[in-house]
Amino acid sequence: MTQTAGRARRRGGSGHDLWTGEPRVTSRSRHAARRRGGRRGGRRGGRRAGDLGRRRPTPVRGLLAGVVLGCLLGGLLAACSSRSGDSAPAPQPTTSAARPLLTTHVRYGVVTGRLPHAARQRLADRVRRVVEGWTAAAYLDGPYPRRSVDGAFPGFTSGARERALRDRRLMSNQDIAGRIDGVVPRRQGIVLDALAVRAHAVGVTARVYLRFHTTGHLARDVRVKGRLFLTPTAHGWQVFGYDMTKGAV
Amino acid sequence: MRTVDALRHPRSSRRWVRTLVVGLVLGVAGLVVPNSAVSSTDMALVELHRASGVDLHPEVVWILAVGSDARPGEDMTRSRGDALQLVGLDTRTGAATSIGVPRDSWVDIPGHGHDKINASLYFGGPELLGRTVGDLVGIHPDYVFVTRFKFFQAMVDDIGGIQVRNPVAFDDVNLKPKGFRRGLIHLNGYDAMAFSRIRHNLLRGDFDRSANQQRVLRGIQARVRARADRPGFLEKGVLSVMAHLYTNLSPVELFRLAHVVAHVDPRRITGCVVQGGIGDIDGASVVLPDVSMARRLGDEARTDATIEHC
Repeated sequence: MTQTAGRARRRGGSGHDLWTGEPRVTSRSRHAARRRGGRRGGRRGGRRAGDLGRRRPTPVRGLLAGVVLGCLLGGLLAACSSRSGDSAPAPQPTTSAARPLLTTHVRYGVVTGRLPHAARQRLADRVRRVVEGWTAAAYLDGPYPRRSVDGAFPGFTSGARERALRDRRLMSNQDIAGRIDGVVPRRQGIVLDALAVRAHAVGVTARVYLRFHTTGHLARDVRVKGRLFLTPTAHGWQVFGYDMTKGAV
Repeated sequence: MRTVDALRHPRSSRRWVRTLVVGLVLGVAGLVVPNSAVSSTDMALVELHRASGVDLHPEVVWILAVGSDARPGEDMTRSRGDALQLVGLDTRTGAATSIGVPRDSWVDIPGHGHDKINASLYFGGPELLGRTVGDLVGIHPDYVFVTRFKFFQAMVDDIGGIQVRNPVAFDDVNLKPKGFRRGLIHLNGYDAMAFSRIRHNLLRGDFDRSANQQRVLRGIQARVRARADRPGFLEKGVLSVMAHLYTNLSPVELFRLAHVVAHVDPRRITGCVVQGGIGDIDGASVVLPDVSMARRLGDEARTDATIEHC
């Protein structure tokens, strides 16, 4: 499950913590939220400062709607359960492809050039999918332990994939994949710095933050942080470059 | 004060040393002993490794950077090139090199006979200039960038100015009466333009000016690299380039190229200026370029954007 958060801002936003995506509601954004939400009480009644245009339903109606919709959809999967941030069970280590759900906080940082609201939403969604595809394949998805982290770079251009393979000890869990038996995702956030020309996005620097815990012989917290560079290609938005750090915290 | 007191009173000094040692032991214990009582959640020891890379085709990209002498109102792509630098970037290694070509080099311009090399911009625009320089060096540029003085100034100002290491003080009555001092100096947009153009007071004229242009390019790269991780810096830079440069690159390609420039390793930057003799042809002072040297530099740098020796 993913969630886009963070206010689409033309200039560097202060609505959230830069990397963790934690909301930092400023007085300005509170007022804006009130104006948009039309209710008093700041974040409670209004739209959260960071939302990328999606109107958040009121808690009760939203929950009901979510449960009903979820049950309807869940019927296809022969399962239905409600899930909220507080009541969700603690994530369990991943030992197979079934990984605990991780919420990805996405927000805009600096947008250079004019990019309409709808285009921002589309772009945020596309980049989020690319980034999530990589972090899932490279770090979060099992099974563990295993020898190699194959196919860790979906969404990368062929040249970037070649380079990332050379850096796979950092750009994936290749260095520890044989010594862990699971991964518990903790937090993932993306801040987008976009370049737009004639109202079209032509390049994005995605500031990525990922934190997870490994279990097994090598139990520790790992933080992956840095920048991915993306452009539109014939195959959709792809990563053509990166500047990442990874380390045990 | 405490140190002075400790020197005056040996007993106090010993107590002070004991306190210090105990403090250090406790501090180290706190860091290395698991579940130590003094461990703090406010601190984290992070072991970080870094990896970076940028994908661009071709992997060694060649750009002809041209400073046009077009005056206001003139088409800068149909004037004379005042500064000519063939810049190579190896996206695999982060190496970069620049081969400077004196603008008065007397060469064969395809379809136009012999003339100064910078006249080929006037005759046939950026494409012909790229071809002419390519014929001289043996490397045909993938891209040609053309800018004019005013735009160049604006671009340098947009990135906050640059720093260059100037080997010798020089000045110019018109462009920089107070001159540039020797050593590490900061240049704003205007200064960078003047630093790149002045030649009369330089010992080796056009050759030294070309070397100064390479110093400016290094300064620009260093600035871009230093600020590349500032949110929006490269994006803004691309817009500035689009506004101030003639280029046939798409914005997407420019965005990629900007990241390639930011990834250049300053320790792997090299550069040479094509040497030659001074001649007089039809009353005009020209540079008779050392063609064999130009070809040697091209051969050396072609595949890895590196020149070991000029």
